[in-house]
Order: sequence, then structure tokens, then C-alpha cells
Amino acid sequence: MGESMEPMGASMGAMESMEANRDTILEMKDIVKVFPGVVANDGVNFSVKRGEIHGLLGENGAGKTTLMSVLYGLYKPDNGEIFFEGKRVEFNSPGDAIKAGIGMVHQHFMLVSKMTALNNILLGYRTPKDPMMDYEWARSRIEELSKMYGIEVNLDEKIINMSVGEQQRVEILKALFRDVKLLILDEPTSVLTPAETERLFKALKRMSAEGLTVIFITHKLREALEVTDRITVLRKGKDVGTLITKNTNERELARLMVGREVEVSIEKKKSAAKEVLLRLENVYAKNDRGLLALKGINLSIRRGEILGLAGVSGNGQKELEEVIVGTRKVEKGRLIFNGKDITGLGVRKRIALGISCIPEDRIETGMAPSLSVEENLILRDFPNFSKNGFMDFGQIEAHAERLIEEFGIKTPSPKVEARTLSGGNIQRLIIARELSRNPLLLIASQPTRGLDVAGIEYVRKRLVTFSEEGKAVLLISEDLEEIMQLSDRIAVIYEGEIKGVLEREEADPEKIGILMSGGELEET
Amino acid sequence: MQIKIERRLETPKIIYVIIPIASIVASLLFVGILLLAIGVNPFEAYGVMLTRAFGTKFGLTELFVKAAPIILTGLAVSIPLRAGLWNIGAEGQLYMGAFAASWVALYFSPPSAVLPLMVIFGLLAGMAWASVPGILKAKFDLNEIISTLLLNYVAIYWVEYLVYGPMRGKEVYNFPYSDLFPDYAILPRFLGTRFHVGVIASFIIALVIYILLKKTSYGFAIKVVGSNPKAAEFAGTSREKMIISAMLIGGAIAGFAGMMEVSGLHLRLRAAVSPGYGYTGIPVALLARGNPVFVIAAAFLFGLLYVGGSAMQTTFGIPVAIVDVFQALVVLFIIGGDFFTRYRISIGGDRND
Amino acid sequence: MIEAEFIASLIAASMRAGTPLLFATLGEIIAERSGVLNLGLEGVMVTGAMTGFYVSLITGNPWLGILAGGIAGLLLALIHAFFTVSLKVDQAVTGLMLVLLGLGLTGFLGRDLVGKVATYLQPLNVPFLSTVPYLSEILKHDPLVYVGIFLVPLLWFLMNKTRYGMELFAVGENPEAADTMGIHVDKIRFLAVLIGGFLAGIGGAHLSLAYAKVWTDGLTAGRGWICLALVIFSGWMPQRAIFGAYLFGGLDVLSFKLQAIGFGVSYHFMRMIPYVFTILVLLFSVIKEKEKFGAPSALGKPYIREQKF
Repeated sequence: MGESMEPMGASMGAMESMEANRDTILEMKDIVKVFPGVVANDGVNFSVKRGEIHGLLGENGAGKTTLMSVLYGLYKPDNGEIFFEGKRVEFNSPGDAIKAGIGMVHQHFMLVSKMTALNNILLGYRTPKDPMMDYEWARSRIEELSKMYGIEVNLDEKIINMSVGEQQRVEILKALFRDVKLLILDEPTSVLTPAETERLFKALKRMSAEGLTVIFITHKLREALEVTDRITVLRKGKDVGTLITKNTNERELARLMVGREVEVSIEKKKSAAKEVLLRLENVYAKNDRGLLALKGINLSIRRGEILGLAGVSGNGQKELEEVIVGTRKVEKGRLIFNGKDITGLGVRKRIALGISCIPEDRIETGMAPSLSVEENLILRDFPNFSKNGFMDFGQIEAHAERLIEEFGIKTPSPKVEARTLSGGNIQRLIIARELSRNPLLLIASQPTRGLDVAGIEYVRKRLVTFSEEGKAVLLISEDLEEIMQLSDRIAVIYEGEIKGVLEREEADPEKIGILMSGGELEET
Repeated sequence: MQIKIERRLETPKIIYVIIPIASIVASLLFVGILLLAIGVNPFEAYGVMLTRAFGTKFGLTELFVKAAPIILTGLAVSIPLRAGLWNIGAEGQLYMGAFAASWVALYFSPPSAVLPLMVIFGLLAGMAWASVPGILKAKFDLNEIISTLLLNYVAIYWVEYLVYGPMRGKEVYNFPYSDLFPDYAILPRFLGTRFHVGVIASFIIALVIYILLKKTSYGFAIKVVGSNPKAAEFAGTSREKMIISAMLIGGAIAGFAGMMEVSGLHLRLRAAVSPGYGYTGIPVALLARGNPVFVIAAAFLFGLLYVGGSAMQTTFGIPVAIVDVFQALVVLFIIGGDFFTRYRISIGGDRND
Repeated sequence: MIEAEFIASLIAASMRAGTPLLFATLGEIIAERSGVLNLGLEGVMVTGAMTGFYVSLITGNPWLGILAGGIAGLLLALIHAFFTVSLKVDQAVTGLMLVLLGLGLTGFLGRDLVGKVATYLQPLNVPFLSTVPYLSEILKHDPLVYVGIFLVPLLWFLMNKTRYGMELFAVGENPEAADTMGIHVDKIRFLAVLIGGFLAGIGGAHLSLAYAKVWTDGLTAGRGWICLALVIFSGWMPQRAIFGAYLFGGLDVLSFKLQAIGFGVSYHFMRMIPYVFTILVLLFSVIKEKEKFGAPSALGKPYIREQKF
């Protein structure tokens, strides 16, 4: 079984003599991991050679992170064996994996935000003066590593004050500090600007050159092709092939990943410019920590268009969303919606005027997890479902049944707790609720994050149809491809300011990337 | 060997029946052991408890008059709890209600207006007392558990101060009592027993609260705030308003309980208005899981404990504190058992043999 | 001169009265730093107070009593740790039930102890100091007062300068991050709750064996709750806790002291003051630390690793 895992690799062996000489550092055999109701890994075989950058590719929910969490000792596999450096290993906790020489940089960084970078790197580590903290010793070692791989961080800065890119470098140093032989990176580029991504890839190649093995988890084909030596594709919890990167292409990978030919593009006609629906005039707002997060935003959204808002997360997108929804106070400036000043209006009045929103944090803000599906479907409209203060349960039920049908929400019953739904169905629930009131403006914040290809297609089509009905969409997304594909115009936000608004024709990833990292475009 | 803890997708219905019953049985066993330890036969003690509560007309009316304030304090905890708030201050709100009602009873006229005014002042005093932690929570996110609890001590010492000082009665010797209320300030009683009209009022209040929570849009909004405050804000429901209003309703009900106790049972203000009904409201609310109808049932269980507890005290000299122990144990067993409704534990052998 | 004497005796009494609060507050700081809120402090303290009193009564050795008080506190904390850390039950519910349990058990088992006289902790005679005026008055305490003072720098050191402190902090801030670095979250939380219970139990025993010198039903009279407020007041830092504890110790004795010099306010009225003052202090702390940088981010939240759905 183990030998037949990589048909491509075997046949190419002669040509890739260097590759073949490398020994296998990691071998995972027949890994099964079941969560209640879901088989996340269904007999996965996966093997990695020493010193290579190995891409682990698959769509959301394919089981990539689960597989790596099994390797890292976070989950116990229900079946299967793991061989690391030729020895059979069984990790009961990440501590065991770290000791064996495996490090992992998680998609959501595992950093203690109130601690300094230095303390984060030393977390759980026994310095020579243990239990005292031997900072001097640690500092000199970290500096060595920084130089070796070109990964610089300010060790005395608290995580909370760092940019996402810098936080990621702390994470990588944390692993390198423990002398890992194998480093797992889970979707490391999703939070980076194009320039930061370049920088990361350089560091990875240096690691590989120094003999370190890297597993690079991603769902982005282009990145997998750019930086890896080999790629293993997972689909629905199964491994469907391991390929040598040089010998494959985007089309083949996409087919393996999704299991069918995918039509990647969605028909989106450029809309004819119509009158402005929402105008933000010099809007200032603070974030939860009381610091200024929006610094004089000027932005217009027109009827019939999708306006994309690009930017690295944490640059004011969430605050902008909340300012328009009405849950965040405007410090200065005005919001004009449909010719009316709505700056002082509450959330409910704005809903009534036609402002809908798919919030970034679907579970944290978008729904009440312990309430039923039908209750969540009226969450933002419940005053309309009551008479003289009493709830009209018949109407609520009918409403739920209609939306479940129309939007294809898969639920055993409208009465079950909404938290039991899958991520994709929660997204459908929220979209159903937000579109059902027939709004004029839809704010869609990271609307496809965490969805599989079918889900992504569904959501994108909905957004396009909605805008074609003469209504407006503000699409906030970190996914540049998504923004480029769907938007009529693209605004870029950086540190609470709009750095530029590009027409669809004039926009390209390079220009957007420059604006995303705070640069200016030269006038042409 | 490996032990795995997994979240259940579905919980067998039977578990919801087994857990409370098993918890009560286990608590009785545990308390039985404690009784044995101080040389009391637990079967005898439990026997006395039951015969007292159900065997006599006096016992049965006692059961009702003790369950009534517990229904009210149970509601006073339940309503804020539905909004995600712990009102540990029902005891203090009850004392403030008792104080305000006594003040009206002793110093207000005309007689025909006194009883209604006592009700109103009792409600308002409880409300006022609950408003402080409610506002502090809403505006400053000040922990309501600590603030409501500390205010209990303030209220209890306030009443103590009054009955030792300014409101001390003329003919009470050295007891910390006020004078007896005039007749027109006393709740009507039935059939020559201590069963007073307040008991019936408690049932009606529970039903009204049931309708409020389950059938109205206000109840829906409270539920949303309790489930996810951020989602509530997103839905245009002001978290602040819901927090404060839920506390006010809870406080008012507890304040009414205080009025009921002084006007229906004690007939005067005294240092010990309640043996801890406000605290009993917590396990009651937990057992009832926010449902006012279940609050009535749970209140009777604990009412029985109080009746039985005082019977055991007079018969065997067992301190009434045993009631607290029983309450705590029941809840601990139930929440411990709750674990099994949410998770499944499977024990498997080593994978490699 | 009466004033100086009055102040000296007030300071001394504040330290004595503050010591039970100090122990319990320090213990709770450790528990909360790990992310576990133990609202049952009142129950833990009162159990420590009764057990300590009882053991000293039957053995004649107050130190055994103090130790027993600590162990009793630890046992009650064990219930909390088992429920909240192992079973992941709601921390507030368990803590509240611990209060009822502690008050109930001590009321039940302690009924025969009321009015008895146990062997109390005696003040330490420091040879040199006893000759200095005022200072001798201020510093004449039982040894536990000094142990309490000594605990403050010790805990500060452990929490800020050692790996144990870092791990404790990390577990309370971001248990997932700690877990991924091989730190055993549940083990640390369990231990932290037990240590917290042990210290609170000792605090309770100090109350009955050195400060109040009696056992009465509900002896702690809300001190556990005041300590919970003191934890917030101290910003989860041991070095600040000692000021809060002594301040409240002072408030506690002020009513007695004022009566002793003929201050004309009712004793019952004065008893309300510490509780009102606690709320005001709490409000002050909360407003001042609006960002709440001090509170452990994961406080009150159970940690479950396989939290997939």
C-alpha cells in the first residue's frame, strides 16, 4: 500500500535522481479521524521527503488541517500509523511532536497577545537555567536563527502591537527555536500582502536549502505551484494523488482537488454606473481598544455595482462594516444612504431602510447559536413577526420553511439549534435572512471564507445576481482573486484609510498589492 | 487504554429524566451519610420530613407558604439568567422590598391605601436595589455576581440597623423587631391557616412571566441577548437596555417576595426576614432551566426541604444548614450529569493489539 | 499622643484583619490567572475557618489547625477543579454551589463548636523590635501575618520571572496556544485551583484562629466575595493585592475602633460600609482599566481541545 502511494514520484525517479536520494522523513499510513457525524480523514496516506517543500492541497473541509493536527498530536487518530524519521511514533500531545522535531504554524496564530515575542517564543521551553527564564541565552540563539533564515522580529514587542506578518514570523521562530526538522505551515499566506508572501516564500526556500522539511497547507493552486517541490492533494478526507510540482499544472490540480472539471470564472458583466446609494463622508471610528481604526473614509457605493474592498485584515474592514450596519459609533463624518443622512440612526432603522449584512464573524455576530434555525432566520427582523408585542409563531414557521427551501439550507428541522449546522449551511442561513427582506445594499464580509467550491460558486452567483437587480454590494474580502473576479470597482483600505479606488479594467494584483501595503501608485 | 471525550450530536431523551432523579437520590444518600455521622438515623429523619410536610394541614400550608417566596426568587434569578446575567442578589432585593413595605405599613395612611402602596413600594424597592448592579453591568461591565451579592449584605445590615435602631418596636423587649403591622397592612389569610393571598399571587406572577418570556417579542429579545450579545446588537437589540430591564423585573419580583413575607407571615419587620430564599432561587432557576413553570415545581421541592428542615431541627436538633448542603449537592450532581448530555465518553483499548 | 497610638493600633489591626483576605486573594489570583474563576471563595474560606478551629480545638495545636484549614480548602477546591477543569462545567454555577456547600456544611458540622475556645495563634515576639515604641505595636503579629507578607514577593517572583509563571499566564490567556506548545492546560489549571483553595483555606483558618478567635455560623461574613473584588482591584497582581487586603482589613476594624473611642455611629450601620466600599472600589478599578488588560482573556472559559463544532 505504502509503496503505491506516489505513482508519479516513482516513475519520475530516474529523472529526479536528487529527489530520489532524499530519504523519507515522514510517512503517515491509512490515517482515519472521525468527528461526530463527519469523517475528516478517511484512510489518508501521506509521505514527505527530507528537505523538500511539500504542498498539501485541498479545498476547505478536505481534511488538510485535521491530518496535520493528527501529526502534531492535537488529535488522536482513530486508525493509522505515523512514522517519523523511520521510527513509529505516537504523539499524545503537541509536546511530544515538538520533542520529536515537528513544528506547526497554525492558521489562527497560537500566540499569547499580551506577551512579548520573546516570551512567546520561549513558551513551554526549558532554558538552561530552568525554571528561571534565561533570556540572554535565548536572545542570542534567536538572533542566530533570524540571520540564518532572514526572519526578523522585534523580540521585546508585545504580540498585540504587531502586524499579522510579524506575528507569523514569531510563530515560525517559535518552531525553529525548538530545532524542528519538519515545519508545518497551515494556510500561511491568507493573511499576508503579496509582498509579505514573497518574503515568506524566500524564507521557506532558505529553510529547505538548509535541510529543513516544510509542509505547506494551502487551497491556492498558484501558490502551491510557485513554492513547493511536490504536492499531495486531499479531497473529501482522502488523498487523491501526489505530484511533482514541475510536472503538473493548475488545471490538473484543480481537477484533482474538486473531483471534476471546474469552471472557475463566473459571468460578471461590467455594470453601467448608476446613482450613488451609500456615501461615506470623512468617517472616523474607533476600534474596540479605543484606538482610531477609521481615519477619514470617503467612499461611494453605486446602485448596480459590486464594490470590492481589498486589504489585509485588521486595517479597518471590520470597523467599516460595523459603522455601516450601525453597531459602531461614528466619531466624525457622515453616512448618506439613498439621499438620507443615517449617521445617527440605530441598527433597526437601517435594516428597515434596506441595509443588509453578512458579517465577517458569522458565528460570533451573525447568529445566536443556541437558538433554533427558524429563530435565527428572523433574528434581525423579529419586530416584524410580532403583533402587539406577541410573537406570531405561525408566520415565523412559514417564513423559515420558505427560506430553507429557497436557499437550500440543509437542516433536519427548522427547530434544531442553529449551532448544529455546518459552516456552509450557517452561511446560507445568514444569506437567506439578509436577502429575504429585499434590501438595497448588501455588505458581504468574507462571504466565501471556509466554504467548499460548490458553496463558493453559490455565494458568488447570488452576489452577482443581486447586484444585477440594480442593488449594491460592498464586498469585503481578503481573497484578491475573489475581489478581482466579482468587483466593478476596487477600493483598497490600509490602516483605516482608503488608499485608492480602481476601476475593474485598470486593476491588477500588483497595483492592489502596492496599495494594500500602504504604497502609492504613480500617476500615469 | 484511551479515554475519549466527544461532543454528542444527539442526546437520548431519557437522559434528561434520569439525571434530575438520580441527582436527588444521590444527594439524599449523601446527606444521609452526614446525618449518620452526627448520629441521626437518616430514614427516620426523612420520614419526619415527609410526614410533617404532607401529613398535617399545618405542614401542607407551610409547604405552600415556603414555596411561594422561592417561586418568586427563582423567577428573580431566572429572568436575568435568560439574558445571561447572574442575579445573586435576590436575597437583598427581598430585604429591601420587606423594608419598603414595612415602612409603608407602619407610617402611611389612609388604611385603605396601605396594602396597595406596600405592594408598589415593595416592587420599587426591589427594582431600585437591582438597578444598581444592572446599570453598572450595562455601562461599565462590572461583574454582576459580585455586585449583587455584596448588596445583599448591605440590605441585610440595613434592615438589621433599622430594627435595632430607628424602626425598633416599642414593645419588643430586646428582640430586633419592629412593631406589629396594623391589621389593614396584613395580607388576607384563608381558613384560619397561614396560607395567605400572596401564595396565589406568586403562581399568577409565574404564569405572567412564562407568557412574557415565551410568547412576546421582549422574551425573544432577552433570549437573543442571553445566547449571543453581539448578535443581539447586530439585530438592533440594545444589550444595555435588555440587561437593565431584565434586572429590574427580577428585582421587582424579589421585592414583592419581601413585601409578601412581612405582610403575610411575619406581620412586622425583623432582622431575619428570609432564611436564604434569595440564594435558593439560584438552584431553583438552574433546575428549571429558565422555564417559569418548572420554577414552580423546583420551588416546591426546595419548599419541602425548608419545611422538612425545620421539622428535623425541632425533632433531632439538626441545623437547618443541611438544606443548603442538599441544595448545593443536587445542583452539583445535575451539572455534573449535564456533562453526559453534552459529551459521550468512550473507553477503548490500545489500537495496536 | 492618643492619636498616634490609635493609628498604630489601627495599622496593626488592619494587618491582622487583612491577612485572611490576603491569603484568599493571592490564592484566587493564581486560580484566575490560569483561567478558572472560583466564585466559591466564600465557601472555601468558611470551611477552612471551621476545620481549622475544630482541629485546633481537639489537638490543642493551632498550627495543625491552620494546616487542616488549608487542606479543607483544598478539598473544596478539588470539587471545583474536577467540575470545571475535568468536566468543563460552567465555572459560575459550580462556584456558587461551592458557597452553598461550604456554608451549609460548616453550619451543619460546626453547630457544636459555637462558643468553644480553641488554642489560638500567638503573636510572635521579635526580640529587638519589641523595644521600639509604636513600631512594636504595629509589628506584633502572629507568624502567619509575616508568612502572608512573604508570600507576596514570592508569588510575584514565581509569576513574573519563572517558566511556571509564564505557563500559568499563557494558560489563562490563550489555552490553545499553550496547548500547542506542549503545556498541559488542564494540569496547570487543576493545580492552580487547588493552590488557590489551599491558600483560601489557610486564610479562613487564620480568621478563626488568629483574628476573630471564635467560631460562629457564617464567620466569613462575605469576605470571600470581598476577595473576589480585591482580585479585580489588584489587577491580578500579587504586589497590589496586599494593599487591597490591608485596606479592607482596616475597614473591617474601623467600626470597632471608632466605637472604642466613642464615635457616635451605630455599629450596625458601620457594618454596611465595607460592602459599599467594595463596590465603589470595584467600579473605580473597572472604569480605570477600561481596556481590561489585566483580566486573563480566557477567564471563565473551559478549554476543550477537540472542539470541532
